[in-house]
Amino acid sequence: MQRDQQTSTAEALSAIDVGKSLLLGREQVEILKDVRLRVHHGEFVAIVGPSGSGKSTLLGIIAGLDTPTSGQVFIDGIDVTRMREAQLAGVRNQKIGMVFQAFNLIPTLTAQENVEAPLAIGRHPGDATSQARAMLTLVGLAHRFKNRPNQLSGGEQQRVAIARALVTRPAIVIMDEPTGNLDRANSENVLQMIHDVQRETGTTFIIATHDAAVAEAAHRTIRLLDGTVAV
Amino acid sequence: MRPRMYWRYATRSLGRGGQHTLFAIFCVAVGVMVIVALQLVGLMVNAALTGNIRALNGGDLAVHSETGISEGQLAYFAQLQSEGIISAYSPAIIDEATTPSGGSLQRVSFWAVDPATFPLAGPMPVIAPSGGETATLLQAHGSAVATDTLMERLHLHIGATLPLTISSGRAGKVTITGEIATSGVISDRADLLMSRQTYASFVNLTGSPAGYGWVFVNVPGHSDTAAARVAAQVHQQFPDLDTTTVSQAQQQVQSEIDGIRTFLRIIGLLALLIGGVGIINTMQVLLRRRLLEIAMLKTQGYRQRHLLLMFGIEALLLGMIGGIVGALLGIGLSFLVQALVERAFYLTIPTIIDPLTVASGVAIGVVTTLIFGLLPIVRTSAVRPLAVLREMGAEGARASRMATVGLLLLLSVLFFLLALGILGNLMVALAVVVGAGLALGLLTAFFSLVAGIISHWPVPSLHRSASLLALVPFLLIGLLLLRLSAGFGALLLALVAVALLVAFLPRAARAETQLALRNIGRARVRSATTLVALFVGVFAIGLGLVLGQNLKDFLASRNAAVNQDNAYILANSQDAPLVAAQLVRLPSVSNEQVSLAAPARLIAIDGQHTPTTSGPSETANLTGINGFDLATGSLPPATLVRGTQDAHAGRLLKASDAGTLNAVFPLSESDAPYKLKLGDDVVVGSLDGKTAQSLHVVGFYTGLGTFAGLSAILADRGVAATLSNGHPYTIFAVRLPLATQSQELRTIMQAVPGVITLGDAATLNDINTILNNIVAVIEAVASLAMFAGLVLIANTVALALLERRRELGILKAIGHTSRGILGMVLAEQGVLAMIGAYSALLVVSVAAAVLTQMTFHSTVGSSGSVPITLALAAATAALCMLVAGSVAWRATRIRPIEVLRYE
Repeated sequence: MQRDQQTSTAEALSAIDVGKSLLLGREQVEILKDVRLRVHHGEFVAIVGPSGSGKSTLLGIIAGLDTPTSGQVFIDGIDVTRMREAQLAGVRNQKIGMVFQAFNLIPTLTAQENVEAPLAIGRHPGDATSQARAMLTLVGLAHRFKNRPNQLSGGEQQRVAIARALVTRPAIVIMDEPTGNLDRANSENVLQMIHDVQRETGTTFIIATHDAAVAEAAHRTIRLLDGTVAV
Repeated sequence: MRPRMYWRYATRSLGRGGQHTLFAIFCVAVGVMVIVALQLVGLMVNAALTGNIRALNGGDLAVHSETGISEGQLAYFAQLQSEGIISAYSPAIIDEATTPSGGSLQRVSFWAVDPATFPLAGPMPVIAPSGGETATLLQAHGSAVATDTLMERLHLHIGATLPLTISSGRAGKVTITGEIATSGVISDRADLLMSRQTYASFVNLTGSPAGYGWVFVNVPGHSDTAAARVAAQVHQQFPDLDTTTVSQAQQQVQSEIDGIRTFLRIIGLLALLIGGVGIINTMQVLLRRRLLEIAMLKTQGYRQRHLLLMFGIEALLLGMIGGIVGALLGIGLSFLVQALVERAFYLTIPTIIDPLTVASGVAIGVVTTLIFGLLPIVRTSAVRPLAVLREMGAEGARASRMATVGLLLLLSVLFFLLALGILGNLMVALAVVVGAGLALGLLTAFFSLVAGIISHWPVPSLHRSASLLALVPFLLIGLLLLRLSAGFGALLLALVAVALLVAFLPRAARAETQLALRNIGRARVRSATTLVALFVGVFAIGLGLVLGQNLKDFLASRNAAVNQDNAYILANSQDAPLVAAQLVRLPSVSNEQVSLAAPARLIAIDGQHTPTTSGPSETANLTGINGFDLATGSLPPATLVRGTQDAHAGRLLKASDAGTLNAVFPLSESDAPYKLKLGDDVVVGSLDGKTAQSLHVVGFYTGLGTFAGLSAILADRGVAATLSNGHPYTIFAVRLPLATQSQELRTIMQAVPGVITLGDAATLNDINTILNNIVAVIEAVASLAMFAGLVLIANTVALALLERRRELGILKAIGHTSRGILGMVLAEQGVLAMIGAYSALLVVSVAAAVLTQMTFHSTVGSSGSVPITLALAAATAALCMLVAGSVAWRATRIRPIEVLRYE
């Protein structure tokens, strides 16, 4: 496999000829095929596609949760494709923030403590508590520091998840169907908040979504169809 | 910041764990409780038996004889004292009696001592009256002091009168003047002390001399070297006497105690192992519920070492809480075990709460939790963060087989190190760990196979004849077993009946039954672990119960088979007709045999004077004649044996021996010093020396002993009449029902006050009481194993339901009810309980039969006790289903929409 030797320092994310195949039973199934993707710093990109198009797989690869069968992935100029798990963990902590459809907050920690969690490991200068509070204030939850997830609404939980993703000042924030579990009003609120945060912090957002409103709000939409980027 | 974060996460997760956290704490606490309790009891026993070895030994030197120390031999000690070789000596007569108490006859062991000299090694611990001394309390004629154990057993008080019927042929009464602790030299040896004068004043029907069982000796300076020298001298003079110095007693006791303490520690260690398996199980449940949040932490950059530390803190907290709870419960349990041991072995042991033992118990709790928590922690923290994206749940935590095997090996090594720390012996620790590991491994493999077979078994259905035909082999086996072992046969037939009933259930219920069987095979290792836990619990309880029952059955059958007579009445020539008249009045008398008896002395063997151990004395060569009316066919019910000097056994007496001087001698007389053999002519004389008879040895016997320690020469009744100068005493040997024996013997004693009565009921009562107490101790410990097994089941059910949440949602979505799903869970656990209990009881039955055969050469009890088998199996199934039901109750009420929203 020929590796692309160019460094991609102006790009938050660069995926070059990424492929992923899995053995399902006796059959080799190609989930992603020669995916090429470039996202610049400060961009808000939506990845759309029907169920089974490979969105989650692609998200997993660019988030450093999964390794591609072929191709390379650069995050903020760092080739994460063949990194060992220990190194990947460091990259996830420093360079990537993740938000999921199901919020995935730790139920025994308060909103503030959930946001502080990524700061407890790795090198993060400054006071974790004040950073967490600042981020919660940014997402409009200054009055919810001490509340646990079961005391928050769905929209509020998702905001906490976003604050957690942002607190380490990552190169990219990856979101998988962030409005999937929210009603329309909350979805709009979250979307508005993403816009505001993106404008204020210049963070790069990559969002996989079925939601047309989210796709419309993005700077750019990438369509995925049968494992390839549709032209 | 990190330590604070980890601490918060660990403590709050434990709180959120709810009942599973409590289960985990309980698993730790059970193991710690048992080990702390048994270690404390070990210390108590150690203190009781080694606290004052000299007091336990009775002096610097203890001299003992099973066959009795004669007056002549006592004179030797007087001589040693006059020469200054010993500073003091105190002999003790040992004897046994029965006394009526609570409608039955109770056995009492007692010593008759010289109050002026006894005890030699410090005063007896007098409980009441306060400040009393045995010398004063035994001064008055007819007085006696009783141990606290006897006082409690017979509900005595100071001032109570205790009538005694003594096995050496004496009878009398004593008044209780004091209570002493069951400790020191009389521990496990005597319940009662009286003076020799009181003993000598008792009516003595047989004329048998006092049997001194012990002589306690002090040497100048209490030096062990001097005591050893005296022991050597005594041995040289009297080779058949046993001697024990203080240092020898110390070694003996210490060796026994070390053995007991090691045994107790092994039980504690096994309890820790059971608790440890429970910890693995419970922590699996605790952590599996958090797989997504663990995966989420990994997406934030947390690595396995961070997670190991977080969960390690959680395990540490669990271990500390469990250890503290267990240690406190262990203190309480030690009191219970202490009471049981005191009652079972008639000991008084001091209460000890050793802070070091308690603290080490807490530490053991922490270490055990960390060791056993390692497996679930490492496996769970290996969850792939991708599990978050795919919501893979438990599938995301699939650790490799190599990793699992490696973890199990590490766990084994760590547990071995823990065992080494507790037991302090490398080989014993290795044996326990390897043995337990092998046993558990084999059992798990076997039950894993069974689970696999069960999961493929067809559910009986009226529409599929093959499923019904599959039950036929079990029906046939059940019928066969019914003849060989009623309990197992009945149980198997009951299970076949239940299986047949399933065929008549509605389709939904049969479908749920099929799912239940399939689920058993889905997680085979987990099902096998449940089966192993149940097996161990039922086996432990069952073995104790069945062995105890077998022992009782054996004793009762032996009593019935060997002793055709189980009661004896001894009357002088004047009272004999009165006793005969009383016996006619008793309706339940059977097997009555009347014989005459007279004390005699062995004078010569084949023309040579018999060897004696000392000069003329009242006990020299003493024996007795038991004469039977051979002419009427009343033959002595003895067991023929070969004499030690002969190549073959002789014969017992026959009717044709009537009027002859043929005699059968006790086996002991073929040993030194007499060394009698078949064909010898033995001259016996009356005690007053006026009459003599020459008897011809035709055989030797065992198994017939009217009074303990006085095995008589069996001959024609004419011999007894001659040697008693026309005034023989009469022995009435009868069989009385055990239930009424004591009452009937008392009736005879009241009607003819001069007689002495002896019955087996008192001895059997005593043995049964001891057996019951021992079984109670065993069951108390075994029930903990069962309890831990039930916790394991609760956790297994919780874990299984957690993993199958979506499946349950689907079942409900297609129409199954909460009740039906609960029934499925109950059926699953019921099947597992039955398999575990049945296999355990089978092994118990075989093990008990083998042990009984090896120990007693008897097959009594090997048919399998029906009540125990059925009761244990039913109780196990009921408990398992109750536990599983209570855990599954809420889980089966899940709303399909809650788990299916992503579908």
